[in-house]
Amino acid sequence: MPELKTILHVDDDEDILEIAKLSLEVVDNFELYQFNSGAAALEAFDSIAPQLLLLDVMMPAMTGPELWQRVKQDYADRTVPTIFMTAKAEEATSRDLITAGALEVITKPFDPMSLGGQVRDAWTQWHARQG
Amino acid sequence: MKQVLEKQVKARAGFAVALSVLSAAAIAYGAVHYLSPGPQHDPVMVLISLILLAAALSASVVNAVWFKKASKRLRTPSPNHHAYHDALDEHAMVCVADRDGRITSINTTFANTLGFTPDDLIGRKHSDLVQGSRAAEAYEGALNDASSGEVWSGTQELSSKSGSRIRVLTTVMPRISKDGGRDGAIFVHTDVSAAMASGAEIGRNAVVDALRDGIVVYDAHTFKLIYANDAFLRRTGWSADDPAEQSLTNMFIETELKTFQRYLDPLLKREVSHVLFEFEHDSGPVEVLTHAVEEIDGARSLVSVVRDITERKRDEHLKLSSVSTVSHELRTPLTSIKGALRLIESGAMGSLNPEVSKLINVAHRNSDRLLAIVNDILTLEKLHSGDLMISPEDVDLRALLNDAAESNAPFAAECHVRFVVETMPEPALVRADPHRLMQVMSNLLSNAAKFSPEGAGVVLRISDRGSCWRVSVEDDGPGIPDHAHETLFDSFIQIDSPKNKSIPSTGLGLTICREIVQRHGGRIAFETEEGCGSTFYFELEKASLTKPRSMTTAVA
Repeated sequence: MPELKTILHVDDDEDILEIAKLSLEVVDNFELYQFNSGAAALEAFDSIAPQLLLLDVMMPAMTGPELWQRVKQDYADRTVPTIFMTAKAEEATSRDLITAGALEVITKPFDPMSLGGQVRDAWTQWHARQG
Repeated sequence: MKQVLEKQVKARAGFAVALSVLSAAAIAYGAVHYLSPGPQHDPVMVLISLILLAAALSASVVNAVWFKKASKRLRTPSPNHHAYHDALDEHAMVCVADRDGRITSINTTFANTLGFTPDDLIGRKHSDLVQGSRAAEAYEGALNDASSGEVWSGTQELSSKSGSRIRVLTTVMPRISKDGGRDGAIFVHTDVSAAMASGAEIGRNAVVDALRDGIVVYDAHTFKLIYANDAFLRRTGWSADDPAEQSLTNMFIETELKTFQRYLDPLLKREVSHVLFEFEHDSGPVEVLTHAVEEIDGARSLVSVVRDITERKRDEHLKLSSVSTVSHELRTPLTSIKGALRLIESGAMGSLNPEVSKLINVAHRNSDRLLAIVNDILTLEKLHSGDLMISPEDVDLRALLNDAAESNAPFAAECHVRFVVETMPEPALVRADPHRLMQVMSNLLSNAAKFSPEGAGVVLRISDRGSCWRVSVEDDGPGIPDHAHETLFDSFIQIDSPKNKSIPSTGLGLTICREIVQRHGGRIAFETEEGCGSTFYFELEKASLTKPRSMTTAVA
């Protein structure tokens, strides 16, 4: 199993981007690429080649699930495990995303001290399922 | 008939007087004629006087015979007279009083109606039987009217031997002595209690029928209807002709009936005086307030007031959904606030001096509190809107209690209390969503810990309640004041905690507990005594009694 290093994070809220940056870069030493819109993330996706996507669900213009669909369409040859974050803790939404193949749905507010661990655990489980 | 006879007697008496005058005239004429000096007596005049005398005498004899017969007829009551007397005796209470108002005689109905024997009453003042000072005044007025020859009528209340009051319509007839003075009175009373009660009942029924709330009276065991007002009949669509043909059980499908019976259970076991619960009926949500009524013959009936709360629920839902929207919006800034505080507090961004650390801790704790409120509002909104998933599975309540005690132990330690789980040898299975039940347990445990005195134990117990298991959480806290009982499960109701005022509390915890338990078809309640503590409990149907279900998820 390769070590998880590169994460692409998309959220329209700048403060949350900052908290996640401190959490994942400073506390957990991930290589984090952040964008505040789906379009910007999509444009940089190929050059970054992230190992994992961390996407906010509710975003203007392009939502997290829409971005996820675009990545799957545009880069059908790659399988990038995806974790969603949402402030709207609707169980039905979470269930639908998991059913559609998302690794996990993390409810905001998240604990910045344990976010890295959650992401890493999900990555490990995904690799275990991949065999 | 007697009046006719008396008129005839008067006419005959006049006739007899005329005959007497005629006889006297004849005798006087004869006497004058024979005694007067003179040679010759006129034979014609003698004959006339003799004829007059004979006629007068024979008429007198006839009259005398007739008078004798008439007198006998007047003295002897006719068969009809007996009938009149019996009818009066049957219908009315008759009492004769002397000039001092003391009873000298009564009829059987008078004695029977009031429950006295004649010996109890003879010699007593009639006014002693009249209830109330105003009624007694009316009686005195009546007696005065009677003594002046007037007839008095009015309503009074008489006391029976048992102390009950009997409403009567009274007529007082004067009795005047030969010398024209007051000689007491005859009181004729008609018992109108039943008629007045019937009238009052008609009035009451009209009022009860005009209510918007349904009112239904039914047998506590068979649920057969005894009475239902118009509003209730309209709701059920049952015929107003004979509601007694119906049984309350016809209102429910099987699961609804079980739930309804479970709500009534403490009332039927005489544990409480009344029960109040919300019930999701096929026809819409209702609030049901039920009291038990003990009948004289030992039977028990229940009186339920059924209030339609469709509008109230809709308003609550509207209010909650607005608050819910705001709450969702609050979660994003809260994520940043809490995240920032957590990073600072952890020391990951550098060490803090103790004062700053203390302030960060205050800010962090209050952001937790704010988040708890937001989350509770969202949970409640989901429960109300039916969006909250309930995924039932077989749950052993013993494991639930142990898990709940363990996971809430840090909070207990913070409050300086301990959770004591009473052991239960046999499995206590229910069909429920374990995560939701854990939510209920956490709320009950945190409340108990918060209100318990330091060093106290909070007891978690499972008890067998026949068709249900009861889970109770017992504390030694100050108890719940009476004024808070009715509203304790309502939203945003809080009771001041004697300690730990800094511990987060949203005032929504018990509302959420009630909603979750009700979504499981159970009931939640509490027993409390001020100064002695409280026991909160919920009851769920035993899993072993439930039929196999194909349902894996139930959205309430």
